[in-house]
Formats: sequence, structure tokens, C-alpha cells
Amino acid sequence: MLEVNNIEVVYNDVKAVLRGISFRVPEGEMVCLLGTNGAGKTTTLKAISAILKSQKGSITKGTIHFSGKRIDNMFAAEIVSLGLIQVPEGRRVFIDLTVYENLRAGAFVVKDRKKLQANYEMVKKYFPILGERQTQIAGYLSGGEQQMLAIGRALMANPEYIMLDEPSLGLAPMLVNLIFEIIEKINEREGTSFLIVEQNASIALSSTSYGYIMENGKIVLDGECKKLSENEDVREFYLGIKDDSTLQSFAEVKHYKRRKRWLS
Amino acid sequence: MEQSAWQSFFQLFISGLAAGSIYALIAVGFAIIYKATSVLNFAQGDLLVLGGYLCFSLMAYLNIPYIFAFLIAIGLLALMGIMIQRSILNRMIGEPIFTVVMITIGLSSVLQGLFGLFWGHEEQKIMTSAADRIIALGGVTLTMAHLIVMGVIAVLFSGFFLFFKHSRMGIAMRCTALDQDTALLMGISVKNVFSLSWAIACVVACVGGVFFGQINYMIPAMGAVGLRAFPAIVLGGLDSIGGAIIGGLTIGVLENLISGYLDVWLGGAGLKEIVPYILLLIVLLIRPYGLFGTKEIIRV
Repeated sequence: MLEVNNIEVVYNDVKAVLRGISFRVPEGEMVCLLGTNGAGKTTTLKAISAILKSQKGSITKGTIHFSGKRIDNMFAAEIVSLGLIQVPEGRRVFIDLTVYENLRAGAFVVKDRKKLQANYEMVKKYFPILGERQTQIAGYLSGGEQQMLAIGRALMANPEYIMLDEPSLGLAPMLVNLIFEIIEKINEREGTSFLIVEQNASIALSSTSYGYIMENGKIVLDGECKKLSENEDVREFYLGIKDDSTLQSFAEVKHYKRRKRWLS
Repeated sequence: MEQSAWQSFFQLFISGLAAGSIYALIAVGFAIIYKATSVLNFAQGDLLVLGGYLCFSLMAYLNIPYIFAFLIAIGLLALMGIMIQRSILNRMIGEPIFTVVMITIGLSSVLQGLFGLFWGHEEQKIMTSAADRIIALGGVTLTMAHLIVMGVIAVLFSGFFLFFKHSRMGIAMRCTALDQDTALLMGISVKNVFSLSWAIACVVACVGGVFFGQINYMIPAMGAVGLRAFPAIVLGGLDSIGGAIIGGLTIGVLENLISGYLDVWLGGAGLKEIVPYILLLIVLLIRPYGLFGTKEIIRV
């Protein structure tokens, strides 16, 4: 169980980014955290992983518990060895290292050679492409492959919980679907719990079971994903569906006029 | 014995390699710290002198045999590196890099002063019976120290290569150099990586210092050799350990060849001092990131 209890995060001692956030990710579950730009989703993950310090941020209030232990005063490395790992936003693979070396880096907390090999086999099972490209330099992989590498790298630690920060960022819809399918499979077969931060609400709501919606550093709504996707506000602001029959054409939804650019 | 043209060339070449090996050691120290912490450690040359002096004192005052004195000095310097990192530089995390660089310059001055206090300003030399033995190989004469320094460096550097390529900690160090936050997310303790890189840099400096003290002599201001190694590291690319080695060897050989052949014509020694910088300028004009420095990977 990952339990975040009423945390507040302040940057540079003045700027309050999180203003009392609480949520929980039960074991074996997939939970999503939705919100627009600047809502504080990434900050929430950074607070859990204890990497706020290098950005001069700090948790000023609240607690974070992970499998019964209080982790909001631990170092980043300790949290990873407890089995809670994060896949950062924008992939952040180690670009000058090979694919295999990236995976080795993810397995930093795994000291046993045999376990390392077993985890590597597991990663190759879910992401066969990483096995094929193991000697290639990670910086030259495509965006989708880099995202797979980033997830595979986290999986190398064989964690109980993985936190994914916008896995869909900058990827083609087909790849997004593929990656979410793999995530669901990992959840199902390895029992890994996921906390997924997303802007792509439709894919997140369809593949997770419970969701929280964040705005301006607060949780404004939470519930079963099925219920959330029926909620009117969620449908309009996050899924872009308006159940308003007065709208006659698609053009009225847009605030701008389309302009042709390819001729002339 | 009259040397043929080839023999004298090899003579200059090999003694250049030995001198270059020491430059390479200093340059590797620079590169390791720069790569992991993006700090240019201006005290690297003085750490080298410290290593030499420690080994010297252990042998001269405590009568410890050369090999053991060498090993103890290495251990002490490694501790010293960790201490510098833990006590001074850890507090500077998040501060501008420039501040940290200034601290290393300060450290360099402090160390130089202390050397003068403890060891005086006379020339000191590490004396070993083996080091000064002269070996002749097909007309090329060498001291044992030259051979040992080249051998040790070859072993040391192949060790480094394996360490950075295959070991868990070596890979962690490369990750930290690339992206500290992500390294933290992998469970890598960045503080330990920083300490380890200072420890390695100090060990390398110690090895360099002891050899330097055997082949040449030591004075407190010898740390300036560190600056002589500077072209070596920039030549190889600031963040490339392999580059630092090749840069160091190149500059050592070049200096020796130039002073061997050209000084006669120019009526004195001096060109040796500037050649590394001329080479440096040319290389940087053609490859601004050095011979082996990291080119930024750009996906199109």
C-alpha cells in the first residue's frame, strides 16, 4: 500500500505547489492521477521519490507511507530499495549508455547476479525489442523504444510499485495503446502495482481501476474509473466529449478557425 | 655508444611515453571528477604532490619498505578524497559550479602552503634501489622506474575500462554523470558516487605523484605539473577517461620529441612548454569537444 496523506510541497520556501494531497494505491492495483499542466502531478511523484531537494523543494506538511513504513523522510536510494521506483517524465534514458547498460543501471539495487539475470529475462519477455537492441546506444532509439527502455529499466529492480510519469508523452496513439497493454500485462502477471500520472485521460481511465483528478495542487475528484468517465465535467474537460445536442458541428467546439497551410 | 637516428628517436619516444603516463594519470584524475560532478578540480596537481610526499615520508622517517609505503599512501589519499568530498563539497551541492571550482583553487593554495611547512622547500626525491637501475633495450636506455610507471599505468587503465564498462558501481558513476536526478530514481546514491570519484581521482594522483617523485624530484610548487596536464585533458575531451589517457601520452611524447630535436636549432629549451598549447589550439579548432569528448546525441 502506498499512502499519501495530506502532503504540502513548497518550492524555494515560498511557492506552494501541493496544497494538501491525499491518495492511496492499494497493492496490486493500477491507479491514475490526472490533471492539466501545472496541477502538481510531477511534483507529487517527486515528493514520493524524495528527489525534490535538487529543485529546492520540500515537503512541509503531511506524511507518505509505503508498505507500513514512513518514507517522506527517507533518501531516494532507500525508497528504491523498498521496492518503489519511478519512471520519470520524458523517459530520461541515459542516452550515452547502451540499452543493456541502461537496464543494468535500473537494477542498481539488485546485487545478486542470478536475480539480475532473471529480471533481465523478464524485461525481455515484455519488451523483446530491448533484447534485440541491447548493444545499441540508447540515445539513438526511437521515442517509443526509449519509453519501453525507461519502463524496462524500472522493471529491472523487480519493484512492487512503479510510478509512471506520463508514459504517453510524445508518442503516436498506436504506441500509447501498445505500451498501456504491456503495462496491464505486467500488472496482471507480476502483480506490480502502478501509479500512472497522465494527461491522456481516455487511455488512463480505460486501463486503470481508480482515478484521482488534480487541479491547482489539490485533488478535486476521485472515484472508480468507470464512474469518473461518466462524470460530466470529466467528459467535457478531460475527455473532450460534450453531451450537448445543441452543438451542431465539430467546428463550433474549436475556438479557432482552421487555416489551410499546405497549398499556396 | 653512438646512437643511430632511429635509436635516438625511440629513446625520446619512450621517455616521452613515461612522462606522458604521468600526465595521463593527472588528466584521468581531472576527467573522473569532472565527469561525475562537473567540477574542474584545480587541486588535482597538489593531491599528486601530497601522494608523493606521503610516500616519501613513510619511507624516509618510518622506514617502511617502498611497496608498503606506496600502498599506505594510496589508502591515505583515498581517505583524503572522501573527506574533501564529504566535509566540503557536499555542502556545496546546488550552489553554482564556479563556487566549487574556486574552492578547489583555494584548496590548492592551502595544500601548497602546508607542503612547505611540513616538508620544506628543498628538492626531495623518492629513492628506491630498483627504480634507478638502467636497462638497455637495443640501444635504448631506460630506468626501471620508466618501465614500472608504464606497466602500472597500463594495468590501472585497463582496470578502469573494465570497471566503467561492466561493474555495477562503474555504470552507476556514468549514469550519475549523465543525469543526477534519474540516477537518484534508480536508487543510486549520488553522494557515494561523488565520494568514490574523488577517492579514485586521489588514488590516481597518488600513483602519479609517487612515480613523479622517483623519476624527477618533488618541491611544494610541483602541483603546477597539474596545469601541464591540462592540455592533455582538454585535448582528449574533458569528460573522456580514454581521451585523457591518449591526450596525456601524446603530449608527453610530443614534448620530448620537440625538445629533443628542435631545441638545438632554437638555441635553448622552451618550445617544449608551449607545444602542448599549440596542439591544443589546433585540436580545439577542429573538434571543439576534444578528440574523444562527448558529442551531444541529437535525434532527428
